[in-house]
Amino acid sequence: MSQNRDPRTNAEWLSDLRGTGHVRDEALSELRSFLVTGLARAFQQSDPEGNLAEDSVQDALVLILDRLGSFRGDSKFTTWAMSVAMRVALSEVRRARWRDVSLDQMVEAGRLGVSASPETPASSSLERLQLLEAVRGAIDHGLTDRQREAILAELAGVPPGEIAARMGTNRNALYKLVYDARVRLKEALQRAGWTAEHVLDVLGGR
Amino acid sequence: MRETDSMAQADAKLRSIVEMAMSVLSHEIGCDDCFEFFAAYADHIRNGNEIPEPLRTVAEHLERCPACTEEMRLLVVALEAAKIAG
Ligand SMILES: [Zn+2]
Repeated sequence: MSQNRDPRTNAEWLSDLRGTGHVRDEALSELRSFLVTGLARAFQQSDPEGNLAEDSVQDALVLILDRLGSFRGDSKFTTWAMSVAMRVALSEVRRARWRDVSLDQMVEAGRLGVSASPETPASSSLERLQLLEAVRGAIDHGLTDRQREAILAELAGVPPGEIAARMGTNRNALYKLVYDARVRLKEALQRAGWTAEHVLDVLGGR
Repeated sequence: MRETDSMAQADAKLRSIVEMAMSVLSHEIGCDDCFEFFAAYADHIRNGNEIPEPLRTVAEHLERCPACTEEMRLLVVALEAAKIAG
């Protein structure tokens, strides 16, 4: 470790990592330690041993070296490298977290149910029920099956990468699917006479 | 049909989906496009700089995407920790 030397510039990182022998080894070792330190802290609750951090950085370094040419230089190189490592680690965490949950279960968890709570809700007005009905109607009758699945799974709090994997698509295509669903829902609500202000009013604002 | 949400859950879901619908913009970016600018955005917020115009769409995306918000938050935590460690 050479913790007291001046930090590398972006250009130095690139040339050292593209270099050979000792120069490359030292740069790789510094980068590895930088990334492991960061990931270990970010996941210290769920991964106190640091195994996730070590494994993720191992995989991330392969990606980083592979993608050096795609680094645009609009950030510090180390920030970019950490973003790649974070993507690897977080994808793994989310995969594990949702491993045993099917798409049907995700969709079901997103459905808008009636409260089972006996207490009187603060916003149990007639207008809230009308809004709930309008939203449910728009979801059930105004969306394609895939749009409905995607938006309800997202509403259940499932990360997009996990929904996309279940639906056999990628994150960008899923985003487009949910976007189109949002547009349709907005149009349906507007057709039913709801404005953004009125809706916030009924839901108690922010 | 799901009938077992607590009142708070039912309210939160209704609010979320209505906000998802009502906040739809014509020029939004998706998660993958957002990720392209993650590093630049993280540097800006760590430096306390004002977010320049090209990165505003990232800020807008983070406003409505919990998955990317979590990732950005963890990225900044990781960068702060690695900086202190040298
Ligand atoms: Zn996102």
